[in-house]
Amino acid sequence: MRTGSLAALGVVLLAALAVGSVAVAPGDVLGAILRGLQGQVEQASDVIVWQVRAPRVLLAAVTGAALALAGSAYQAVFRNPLADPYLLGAASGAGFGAAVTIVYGASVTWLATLGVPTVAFVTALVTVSLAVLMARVGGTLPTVSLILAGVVLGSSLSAGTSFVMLADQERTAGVLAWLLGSFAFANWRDVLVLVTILVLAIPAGLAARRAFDLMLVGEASAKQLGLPVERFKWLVVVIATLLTAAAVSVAGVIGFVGLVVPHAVRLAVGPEHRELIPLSILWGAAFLVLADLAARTVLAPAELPVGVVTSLVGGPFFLILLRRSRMRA
Amino acid sequence: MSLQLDRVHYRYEGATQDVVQDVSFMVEPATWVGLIGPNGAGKSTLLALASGVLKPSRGSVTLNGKSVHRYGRRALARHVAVVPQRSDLPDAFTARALVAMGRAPHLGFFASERPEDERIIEAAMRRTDAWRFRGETMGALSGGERQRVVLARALAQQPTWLLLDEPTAHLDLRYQADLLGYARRLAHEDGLGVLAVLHDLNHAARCDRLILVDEGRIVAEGAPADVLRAPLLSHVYRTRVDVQEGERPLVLPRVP
Repeated sequence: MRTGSLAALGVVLLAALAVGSVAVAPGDVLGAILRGLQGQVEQASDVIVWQVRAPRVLLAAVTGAALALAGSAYQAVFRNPLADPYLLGAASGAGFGAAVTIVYGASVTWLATLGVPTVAFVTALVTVSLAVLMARVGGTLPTVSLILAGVVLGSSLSAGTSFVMLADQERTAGVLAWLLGSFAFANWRDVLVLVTILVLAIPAGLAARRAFDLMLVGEASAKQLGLPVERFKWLVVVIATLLTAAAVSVAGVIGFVGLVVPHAVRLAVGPEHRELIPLSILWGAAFLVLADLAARTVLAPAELPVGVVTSLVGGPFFLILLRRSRMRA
Repeated sequence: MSLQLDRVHYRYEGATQDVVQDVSFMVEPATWVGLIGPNGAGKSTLLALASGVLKPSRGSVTLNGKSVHRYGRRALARHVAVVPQRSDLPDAFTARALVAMGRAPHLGFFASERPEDERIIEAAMRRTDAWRFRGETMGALSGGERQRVVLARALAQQPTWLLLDEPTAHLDLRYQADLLGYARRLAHEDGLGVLAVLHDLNHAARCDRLILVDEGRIVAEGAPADVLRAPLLSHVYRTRVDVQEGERPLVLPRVP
């Protein structure tokens, strides 16, 4: 399953590099990749593949991987099927930071200098840190308080975002576009930021498969089976927050991937994290690349917000999957 | 070698009274100790204290002379295994995958199961007669079968001490008898120190030694014939109880 999924992701990536306003034949895509790896970007198709499409396609892939990994980790650690990467307020925090930067950036120069991604990253981290500080009791992180703190902080910040948007209606469209997510402004630097965090997070996530399994039997039993539950929760919250904040800051708030990809994987291969974690990463990447491909081609030359595509297409698809697995059972 | 509670007190956060007061006892290897007492006497709390999940407000819980809280979780789980009264068992896990969790304290963070682990998992499941439904998902098993899987998981930890919280609750007669049989053999044949919270006093009569608690205190301790006496039980359970005395006393509550 893992090898097959990896191959499928490869095919999806190639397809996404080939398709666009100027079609590049699959053979030329492979040629362009090989030439580019040798430092030669000469033909027009090489430029399209390397400079126009590759950053965007790869950013979609790493964002999807990051969100799906964070989502599957939260669903296990909080033992909550509704958990997604934004549960602790990362998206609302980033959204508020982005809105403030877009609306007030024109008059406050330091905001404009920092730029939307940096501000969004910082406000996402600050929001989750606040939720953790509020919920913390001694060295422990009681799950229910943590989720409540995150959800309440998130709603307050969403209200703040609405307020900022209403204050300057000329820039409302810009904020809304950011909130719905887009890879239109992808660049290699953003890809590098996410890759750096994933290089840390993916091995950690794969290694922690047994710990994630243990969390499913409840915190007391997990402790009695030898898991230092509190330390593990801290570790997961820190890594998942870094992943989510980075993903949101470069791509906006893309819903659905982090919630539903892990569920789809679970329906396909069962709940054990030995399979669930690697497949969530691969499927999350492939799903978001395909969603972005749809976002930029369906109404070309106009673009759809990728967050709209993920929910609009992914929702019904998941419901069908859910229905079919229930009928089989 | 022993698992020992020494003058332990425990108070839940925000409570005004200790639920456990000045409790001391010891569980030695190769003994089956029963913990009995009315609802709310503090039996489950004592088990949670003994397994290191709760930390005493005062007093100490020691394993081989060292406080259980000085052990890491993994190290402690190699010595003490718990079969909880109610556990959340993910329905989609197979019985074998659930038992495999018992190997977690023996495996490194990155390590996969070794052939040795597979042997131990199989042996544990055969021991509790759970091997024949190893491929079934937990959701498809009956209450009695699930309890066998959880006991096998505890055995896969290869513990020296086994703590059971009402292992026979909600089971029919056959499964009750089987479970009591496992507990006794694990103590007498495998040399485990078994501490079991038991509701049914006629089950408790099978133990080597009984500890009777009431309102957080130990009120009697000793052989079943010494603890299961009509006046004492009538007083502690606040209802009239008849006891047919003998080496294995038979306890019958009087229906008013």
